[in-house]
This record gives sequence, structure tokens and C-alpha cells, in this order.
Amino acid sequence: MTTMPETAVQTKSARVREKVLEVKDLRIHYETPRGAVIAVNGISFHLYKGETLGLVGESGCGKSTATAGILRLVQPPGRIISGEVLLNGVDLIKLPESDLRKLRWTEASLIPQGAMNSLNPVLSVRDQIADGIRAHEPDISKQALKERILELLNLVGLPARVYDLYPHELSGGMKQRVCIAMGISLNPSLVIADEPTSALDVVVQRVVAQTLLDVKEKLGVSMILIGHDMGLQAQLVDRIAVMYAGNIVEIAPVRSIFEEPLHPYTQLLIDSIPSIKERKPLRVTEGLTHDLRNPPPGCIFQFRCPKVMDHCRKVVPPLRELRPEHYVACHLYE
Amino acid sequence: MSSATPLLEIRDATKIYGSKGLFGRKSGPQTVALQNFNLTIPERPASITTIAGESGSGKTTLANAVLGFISLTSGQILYKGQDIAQLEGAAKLNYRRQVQAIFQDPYEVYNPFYRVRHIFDMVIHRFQLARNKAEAREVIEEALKIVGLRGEEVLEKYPHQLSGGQRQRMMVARAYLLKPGLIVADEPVSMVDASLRAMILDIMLRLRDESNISFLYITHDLSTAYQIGDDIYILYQGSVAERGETTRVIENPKHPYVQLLIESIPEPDPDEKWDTHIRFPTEEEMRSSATSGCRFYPRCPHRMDHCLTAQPPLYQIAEEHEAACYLYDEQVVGLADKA
Amino acid sequence: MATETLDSNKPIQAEIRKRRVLVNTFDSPWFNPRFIIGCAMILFVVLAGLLGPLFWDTRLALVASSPLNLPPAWVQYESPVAADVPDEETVPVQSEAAPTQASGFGSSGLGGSGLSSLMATQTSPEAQPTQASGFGASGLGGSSLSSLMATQAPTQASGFGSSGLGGSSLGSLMATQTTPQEAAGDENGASTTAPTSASRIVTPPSGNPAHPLGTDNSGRDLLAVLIVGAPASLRVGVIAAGIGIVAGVVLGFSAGFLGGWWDAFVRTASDVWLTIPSLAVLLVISAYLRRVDLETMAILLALFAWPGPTRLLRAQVLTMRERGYVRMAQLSGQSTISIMFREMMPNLLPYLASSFAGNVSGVILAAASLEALGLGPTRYPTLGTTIFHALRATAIMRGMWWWWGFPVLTLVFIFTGLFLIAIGLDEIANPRLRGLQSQS
Repeated sequence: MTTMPETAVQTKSARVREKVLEVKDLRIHYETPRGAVIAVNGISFHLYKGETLGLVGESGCGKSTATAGILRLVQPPGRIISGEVLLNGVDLIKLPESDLRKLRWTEASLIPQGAMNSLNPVLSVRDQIADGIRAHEPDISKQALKERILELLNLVGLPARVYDLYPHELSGGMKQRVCIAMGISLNPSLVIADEPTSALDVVVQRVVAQTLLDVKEKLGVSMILIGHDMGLQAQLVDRIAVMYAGNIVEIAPVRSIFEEPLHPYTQLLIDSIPSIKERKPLRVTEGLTHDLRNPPPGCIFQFRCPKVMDHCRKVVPPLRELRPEHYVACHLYE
Repeated sequence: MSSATPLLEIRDATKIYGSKGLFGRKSGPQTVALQNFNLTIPERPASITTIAGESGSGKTTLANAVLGFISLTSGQILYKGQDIAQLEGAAKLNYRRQVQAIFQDPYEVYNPFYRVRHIFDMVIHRFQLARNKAEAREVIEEALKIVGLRGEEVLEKYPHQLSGGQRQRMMVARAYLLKPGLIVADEPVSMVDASLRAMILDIMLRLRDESNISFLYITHDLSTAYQIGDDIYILYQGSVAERGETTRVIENPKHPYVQLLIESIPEPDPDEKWDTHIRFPTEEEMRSSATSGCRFYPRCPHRMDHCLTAQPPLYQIAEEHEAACYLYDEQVVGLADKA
Repeated sequence: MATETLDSNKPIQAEIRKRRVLVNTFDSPWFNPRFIIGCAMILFVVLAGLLGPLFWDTRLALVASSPLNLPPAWVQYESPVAADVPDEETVPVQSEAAPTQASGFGSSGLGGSGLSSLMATQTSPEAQPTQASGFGASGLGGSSLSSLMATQAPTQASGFGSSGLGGSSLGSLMATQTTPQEAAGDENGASTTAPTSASRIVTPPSGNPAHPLGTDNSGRDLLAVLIVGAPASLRVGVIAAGIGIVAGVVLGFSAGFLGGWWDAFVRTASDVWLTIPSLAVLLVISAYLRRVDLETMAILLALFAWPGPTRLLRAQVLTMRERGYVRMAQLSGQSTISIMFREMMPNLLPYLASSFAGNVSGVILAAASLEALGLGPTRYPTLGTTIFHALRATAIMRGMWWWWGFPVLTLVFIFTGLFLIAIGLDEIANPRLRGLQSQS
């Protein structure tokens, strides 16, 4: 298995890298009778061509909502309040729905959480994949379609037999790989995978993760990988963005995150990874979390931060680039 | 150690799920969920025994059997020397008091119709743990303190108003309330956020040390097992692949399946990546292969012909470390060498 | 796409408040508009039944308690022109008569009227015309009889004399200008042995505020009938559906929980029973019964009301059995009965109530159908029975739309109310609402 193209990630100034996705100040709210829940509170990040960005955070931090927002799949009572999402230069937020629909799946695709459980039980694998392809290429011939599907199955490591099978005849890992095949069926430039391995066994997880790496290598897609398993993220991604309560608190190359996490929340996350190498006393943390409808003034992490200062309670720390490609939103570093 | 009766002893437990025909005769495909499973948990000192395995390994079946929700096809489960299948009436109620459980999904276990204090009230009422309301409240507060919660914060709320971590902790408090001898924890932290897992695992350790409660910890996550387990049994498709003291098994796995498992755990270090590309034969993945003999044969990199003859028994590797693999049977290995 | 920019210096909540849409201020699933409206409607009917007798004399629902054939109070007919048509054939009717008072629509349906016309003849000519209310003529072909009578007592004769199933009553509707000749029923060729009898009081009586919804041809005040009949129909529905639910709870719960042969038996029985055509069976049974009163009817209908709830509850129990909280209850040593009623039942209440509402609706429909065919309690003025009488008296063709119209409207009202309750409860119980709860 080939290793990551590491050099490209580390140095920024070496050459101008093309950005496939650029998100600027995206805000998404959910309207509830008692006030709007601020799901995504103005996040900004970018994704270079060919790289994988990991998006981590605990459940409820807004990572799935953010990616749904990128593709404008947010359903009411959720609403995109403001922001820009530039996919290959095109602002998706301002695009009319008809144009956006053409872009979805062909330029950017999403493999949602629990996708393997959402396969249509009455359609065979062939029909499910063909569905998506035909929606965008209605004139494709049957022969070409069949070839394309078999090629996709091969790409994700599934035997050709699977072509005619139904979802209930497949195991969890195989279903997930079918979903990956669907996601890449039209050669998008961006693939967003939301917790692709969360319900799978360890060994199967490894197989699916390998599949993702293979796909990335062979097709050169750029990926956003959402997850909460830091170990898996370490294996798969080039850069990691850490989210907390709707804000991005740190973005850095994967090595930097693990070796030197800067934001206190990231440090907390890294510390709580159980190790299989040595037994150490469990680090227990507790802290209040705030009501998402009423975020406190100042830093969003103030209630749980072990290093909180007075200043943190008043002023929101901006996301600043501390080192090349290493952004942190924390007053400790000002 | 012991001539004392073990806390929990499982002898040759087997559970086969098969469709029964109209008159009781078996027809249709049968699934062997558990096969000749043996386990012993001593009464003292309190310990955490981990049952690890992936889906289909039989660990959930085992948990259900110990809790009395399903009955075994053959074999016995003895709690403090008594066969739980024979318990009736008051004895069964006593068993319920002695053996409690924590389940995986912290939302499902609450009845959405009632406030969360219903789970405590149920138990206090049934087992008569308190004589009046004031005493009941005291007892509940004490249990909540152990898990780091306060009554006034949580008791009057509805389940959907609390977070997953809080709900799971309240479940632990409920189990603790009865001062059981054994708690069966079925994937207690897999649906809880990573940052809160440590807290719940820590509570389990404290209950073991301070209240002498033993645990049967069922999980698929070997890293948490490594952190808190004393002994470990690793199941593969209904049989034990390897068992022994946790650190020994995980640091030095001997069974090829366990080796594969441990190697597949993603290492949270970007410099250490998986180095081999593993392949998963489709039939194995779809569980359609029917084999006699060792279940791991289709995937085993060290397989031999002998492996197909019968299920390998457990061979002693070292003290408190056994593996069920013919690789550790000198005779078999000797034969293979000669062949 | 809304792209209002947020001024990040201002407090966020203030901005949001400006644009907040008020959805459901109470934030409770029970405040479902359909459910509330449905409940209000049914409550209205119940209250009308309870409080109605306080405000309106329900004895008016009895036969011959009020003037005949009065339309609703707002329907007024102008006096006709040709009271004194110089036609030989016409018998001068006018002078003594007070046409507006005699309830004109004369004739009647199949049968009974003959009797009433007989009775009418007993009254003396001097008697108040209002009392005579035209039990007037006839049935099919009975017109001659009545017209004969009528000649004797013109003042008493209710205007339109004859007619069989005929257009004459229609004619009378348009009667403001008709001459007695036209009104004589010529156009329909009804038994016209006595065209002379045709020159009756030509105006149909107008509505009277004393009887706001009109009366029928037997002198029953319709408002009183509704006050008595609507709750009666509801009662039949509730009793029968209630029995059905109780059976459903007992059978469905036990089948779902215990499994085995009992489950197989109950399941087969309820599935088979559902396929039996209920109305046909009920028709046969009630035709055999001599006296059918409300309670008997309810029990009869309950026979067919039990399979639905049984199946529903059995299915729910089968799903619920695997729920985490049921396991927890088992672990806490709860007995099976206790689990069924303390753990499962509260969560089933919305399904139960919804099924109940639907059942009541179905039973009322079946009951009304049976009654409308004449198989119900004919003495008691339920809605269906009223429709039966109306149809028998050919009210539709006589244009007495209020007689069958108001009962039908009431039935529609009741059905709508029950339907709204049922779908409101469906929405309340629907897991879609639980989406707000499960993620935290």
C-alpha cells in the first residue's frame, strides 16, 4: 500500500495548490419554538485538490449539519443563514436549485451516515447505482452503464457477483462499499463521507477504510471524512479540522494534531483516546455544556476549558493561522 | 484461590438458533450462536471479565443467556452454584437482584412516558429497598453520587432532556442501587461520546474496587477492554479463540484471528499505518461458508489441513493465556512439518 | 436562498428573534390542531346531548307533537295567488282556511298516512287548522281516499291533497304562483280520480321559529330529534367500539406477549373475521331480532369491532417486547402483567385512542346503515332511523330536504370530528415527532 503524498501537504509555499472547496463563514440555524439552535456558527475552511480533510468532534457539534449545508441539503427547520461555499469557484449557496442539482453527485457527492442502512431494499445493487448515473446521464447506453457499474464494483473491491444481489444479501461492510461506489459513480471532485465505518467491526472497518484510500488514490478525489475515531482519522486523512459546538477550533496537518495539539479541546480529544499499547489511568473530564440556543459570549469552550481565562469569557477568539497550515481559535496563543 | 464457589460459572453453553417445524422437528438453516462455551468468574476478588468479539461472535447471545432472557440449547449457567434455568419465584427474584445489566443504547432503555426517576422507583418498589419516600430519595442520591450526578439536576427530567452520557450514568446508578454481585455491561460506552467514555469506565473501575461488584464487560472495542479488563475472552463465531489475562492476550496475541484483530485497530499515530492490505473473502464476509473444524480456516494465513477436522480445543500458551489453535498443538505442528 | 448577513457584533439572539417564526408556542405534541378541532367537535355533540334537553323540549321528538311538515325557520313561502280560482273543479278552499297554517305538504309515504288521514277526519271542521295538519292524503293510490276526506273538510285538508310519488309536491314548492289547477298534480299523472281534490291550499307552510329546523311528516320536531338522536348514535358507537377495544387489549396483548399457539389462534381468528362482510351478517341477524334497541345494536356491532384493535395491539406488542425499557423492567423483576400495563400500555395509548376513534366512526356508519334500512330501533329517533322515516315518506322527492338533510349533516359532522381525532392522534404518536427527542 502506498503511503500518503506527504510532501504536498506539509509545505504550503512550495507551489500554489488548487483549492477544490472553500467555505467562508457558513452559518446554519435550526428554528425551534424556544429559539434558534445555532448548529453551525460561522465556520471557514478550505480543501485542496487531492487531499483528505478529517472533520472530528463529538456528537451534536454540527459536523453533519455543516456538510449538509455545503451541499444545501439542509431541511427545515434548519436554514442556511449566511456564508459562501465555493466549489471549484462556484458559489453553491447562491446557485439556483436547478443548477445546483446538476452539480450534486457529479461534482460533489455525499455518503451520509448510516448509508448502508438506507439502501433501498427492493432494488438490486445494479439498479441502485444505475439510478444515480441515469439521473445525470439519461442517454447512457445499457452496455456502457453495465460496464461502468462493474468497474465501480471492482474499484471498491467487491466481486462482480454483487451486481445482481439485493441489499439484504450483503454484509454490512459490503453494503457500505456499495454506498461508496454510488458516491463516486459520476467522478465527482469532492466526496464527503459521514462516519463511513461507524457501525462496522474492526476488521471490516479496516477493509472499508482501505477501500476509501484506494478510491482516493485511483481517482484522485478530494475527500472530507467525518468521524470521531481519532485512530481511524490518523490512518486516513491529511489534515484534521476539529469542531466544537458549531465552531471550528483547530485545523492542522494530521501529524501536528497528534504530536502537538494546540487547542485545549483537541488536547482533550487526543488524551481520551484509549491506547492499546499501555495501560494508563483514565483521564476523566467533566464540564458543563451550554444550551445551544443561547451560546455564551466569548469562547464557546469556556465552560469546559481547563485553561480558561477571563478574557475568554468576553471575546470570541478568531481562527488564526499560527503556523503554516495550522489554525487555532484560542486566546492562549495571542 | 478456590475451592470456593465461583460467582459465575458457565459450563459447555451451547445455543443453536434454528427454525422449528410444525411439530418441533428442526427444519431450515441453523445458526450456531454459541458453542461449548466455558467461563469462570471467581467470587473474590471482584474482577472485570471482558467478552470481546465482533458481530456474530455470540457475545450478545451470551449476555442474554446470563441475564435469563434466552434459554440455552444445552449447557448450564451457574450463579453461586445454582443453575439459573431452575430458578423460580423468590429465588428468581433474588437472582434478578444479584445480577444486573447496563445496555448499549442509553435512550432505548428509558420508557419515554415516564420521567427518569421511574427507573429507580421501579427497583426500589420491587425489591423493597426503602420504607418511605424520604428513605428512597436518600438511597437514590447515594447511588447518583457514585456516578457524579445530583438528584435535583436529573431526577425530574424526561429522558429526552438529558444527554447520552447522563443517561448511561444513571443506568449505572440504577444497577448499583441493588448492590448486585455481577453487572453485565453490554457495550456500555459504544454509544457515548469519546470524551465521556473514560468517565463511565472509571465508574466501573471504582465500583469494582470500592463496592466489590464484578463485571461481565461485553464489547467489540479492544482498546477499552485493554484499559479496564482483568481477564478477557475473545470470541469468534460462537467459540473462544483466545482467553487469559488481558494484558497478556492483547500484548501478545497467539491466535491468528486475534492477531489480525489487534493489528486492524487503527493506531492513533499518523506514522504507523496499516502495512498490509488485507483481503476478505466474500463468502466469509457473507457467512455463507459452512465449515466443520476451525471457523477461521477461510481467512487464516497459517491454515493447515488438520484444521478442518474438528474445532481446536484451547491450548495453554502460558500461565493465564490459552488459545484455540492447532498451531499450538505440538503433535499437529509436528505432523504438518513432516508432511 | 436566504442570505441575510449576520452582523457578528450584535448579539446573535436579537437578530434571530427578529426573524423567528412562531411555530408552536406550547411545544407539546398534544397541541395538534387537528386533534383539538376533532375533540371540540365531538365534545360539542356530547354537550348538545347533555345540555340540549335543558333548553329544548325533547318531547317534541315524539310523534305528533308538532305541526307537520314545517320547513326550517328561515324558509318562507309567499302566499299563493290563486286561492280563488274560478274553476268548477276547484273547491273553494280559502275562506275558512288559513293556508299558511295548514301544513301543506299533504300526503305522505308508503302507508302510515292512511291511518293519519283517518285520524284527521275525526277532527271537526271547526277545529283549528293547525291541528289538522294534513295527514292528508295518501300513499300510492291513496289519494282518492284522502281527497274524499278532504272534500268533507276543506279547511282541514292539507293543501296539496293527493299525490303519490309525484311531482305535485315539487309543484307546490314553486307554488307561489300556481293555480290550484296546476297544483293539482296534473303533471305527474298521479291518481287523479279527483282533480277536484287538487284545489287545495297551495302554499306549503313556511318555517316557524318555534321549530327552527322544521318538522317531519309525523310531527316530530327535527331539532329535538337531533338532540336526542345524535348522542344516541355516538353512544352506540362508543359502546360497540369500547367492547372492541377491550377485546383487542385482552386478546392482542396476550397473543403478542405469550406467543405460541394462543398467538397463532388469535391471529388466525382475527384475520379470518376481518374478511367476513359485516353488513351482510348484521342485516341477517337484525332481521331475525324482533326488538332492537340501542344496547342490543351496540353489542351486535361489537361483534365486528374487535379484530381491528386486536391486530393493531398484537403488532405493537410484538415490537415493544424487544424494547430496551421492557428488558429493563424484566430485569427489575417486574411481572408480565405489570410490564404490560405499566410499561407498554402508556406508550400505546395514542395508538389505542386513534384506533378507538376510527372504530367508533365505523360502528356509527354501520349502525346508521342498518337503521336507514329499517333494522334499527324504529321507536327511538336515532339519526339513522330518522333517515329511514324520511326515505319511507319519500322526503327526497317531496322536497323535504331538511328531514333527511340535517341528520345526514350531523352524521357528517360526527364522522369529521372522529376522523380529525384519529389523524391528530396518529400524528401525536408518530415517531416523526420523536426525532426531536432522540438526538442529544
